[in-house]
Amino acid sequence: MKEQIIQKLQIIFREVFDEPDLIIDENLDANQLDMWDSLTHVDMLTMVEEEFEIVIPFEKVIEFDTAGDLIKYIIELKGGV
Amino acid sequence: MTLVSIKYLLFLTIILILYRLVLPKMRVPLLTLASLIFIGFYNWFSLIFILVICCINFFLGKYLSKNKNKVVFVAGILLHTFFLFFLKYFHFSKGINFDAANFQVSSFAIALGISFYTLQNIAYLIEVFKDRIKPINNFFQLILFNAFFPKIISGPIESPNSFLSKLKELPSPNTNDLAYGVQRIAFGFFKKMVIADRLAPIVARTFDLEVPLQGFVTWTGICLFTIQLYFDFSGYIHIAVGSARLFGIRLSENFNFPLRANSISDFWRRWHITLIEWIKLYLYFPVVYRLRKVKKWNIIIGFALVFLLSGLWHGVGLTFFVWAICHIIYLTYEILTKKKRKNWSKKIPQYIYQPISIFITFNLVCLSELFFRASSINNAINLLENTFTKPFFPQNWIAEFWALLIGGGSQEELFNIYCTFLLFTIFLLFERKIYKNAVSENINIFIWIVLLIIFFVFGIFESGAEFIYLQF
Repeated sequence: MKEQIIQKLQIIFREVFDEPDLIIDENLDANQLDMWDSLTHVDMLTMVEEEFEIVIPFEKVIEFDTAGDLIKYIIELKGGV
Repeated sequence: MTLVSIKYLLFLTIILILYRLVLPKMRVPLLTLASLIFIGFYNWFSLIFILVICCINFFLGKYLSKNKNKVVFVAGILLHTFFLFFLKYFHFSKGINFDAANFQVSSFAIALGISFYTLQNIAYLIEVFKDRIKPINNFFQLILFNAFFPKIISGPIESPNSFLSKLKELPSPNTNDLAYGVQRIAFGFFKKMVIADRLAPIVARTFDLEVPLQGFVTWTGICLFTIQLYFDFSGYIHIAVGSARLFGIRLSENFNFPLRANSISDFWRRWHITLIEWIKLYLYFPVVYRLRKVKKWNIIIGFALVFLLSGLWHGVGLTFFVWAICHIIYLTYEILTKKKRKNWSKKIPQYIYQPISIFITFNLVCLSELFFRASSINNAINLLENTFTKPFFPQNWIAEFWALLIGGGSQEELFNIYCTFLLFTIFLLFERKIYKNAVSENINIFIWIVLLIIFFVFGIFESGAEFIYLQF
């Protein structure tokens, strides 16, 4: 399940952050991507909500510092391990 | 007591000696008392007002942590907002004074630092209400959070989450902290007294329009205000961060070489960082995220809200409104052309693309700062009309540019302005390198000898000018 989530997230990250060759890992954060700022952060989360059919509450938005935080949260919501 | 004065350095030294002498548990009360004395030097109203505000927030915080009463929570935020705008309205009704030579403390210090600690207090209530922090039990800590003397004047705006945890156990500063603190303070003095205060009269002459300048001279004067503001405000931040570090306390950074930004979005990631972080967390994200289904427009609406409120935070005049509109337009353009600009940056060689982007960004920032500095909209329009008067470039540079900028033409004045231009140009181009060498663990004797010689030769010692952002 984790691998599938990473695969889907990778597609979203590549599109939102305009990095066609991006390979994401759990430590990936805003410092490593020029395009990851407060504007694209919201776009990215909106696409994550649509792709995984989840609703991310506002309180969580500011807590995602790395791709790993997001992966962990999606797994929690989807009830996976 | 201005931060760039012998009086402040003496005050700081005395507090530092006492800090090292008292028991660790007495450090917070000592710094609290020092901060209250510091505010008392400005005026008594500021002192009484901040104590009242701290009392209100102390009890509000405790109440809200136990009773999640939304009405009290909203009333608390509205109360802080009301005080801020009520006092600022009276403050601005007296007019803003950007002229360093005529800066009078009594004319603006209605409630010292209110714009800055109001935001911190609102953040404190939100964080307590959302259960992200526990309310403070030690009243001294809350006063220090608001009134800590190095940052009371103009920030940096500290987050309650990180700053309050630092106050639980104040550290014993080591020699590295002391060396770092002294270097930062000296660097701040340099930026303020050698560059910002040297530019202040030139900027004042440009904006006063007593002798209307024209074309490129006017535009240079307008641009010099942005440079003056940067050196003035960042100079203050160096002194604030350095002073706090002498006590082992690390304050947040407020600038990251903003005049080298290659876009307006980049500029706002580098300029007044702590204000932007606050706005982003408590205004921008909540609005933009809740409107996330309306793609792109949510961000534009978010920008509009953020900059209109930011303009209002700076002042209630129409000029600040136009300043806000400028940035809303710039950022909207950047959002709508993001992909196109990314493609350009790939096609055009970086050694051409980057300098051009920095140049355009700088000029756009200067255009907005024209409204920020102008005494009225008419004043700003007159300056713009003068800028576009033909011929734009002077024919005789000494007589029609340098001499006009300084309002004279003696050899000494010309020499001084050449040196000032040379100095800030070197700083704008190489500030990162200069800073890394000037503020380091191993004190760089060579660079400090050079900086100190320049400081004593070119520093403005007689004006005793306050920092521009003290007014906000």
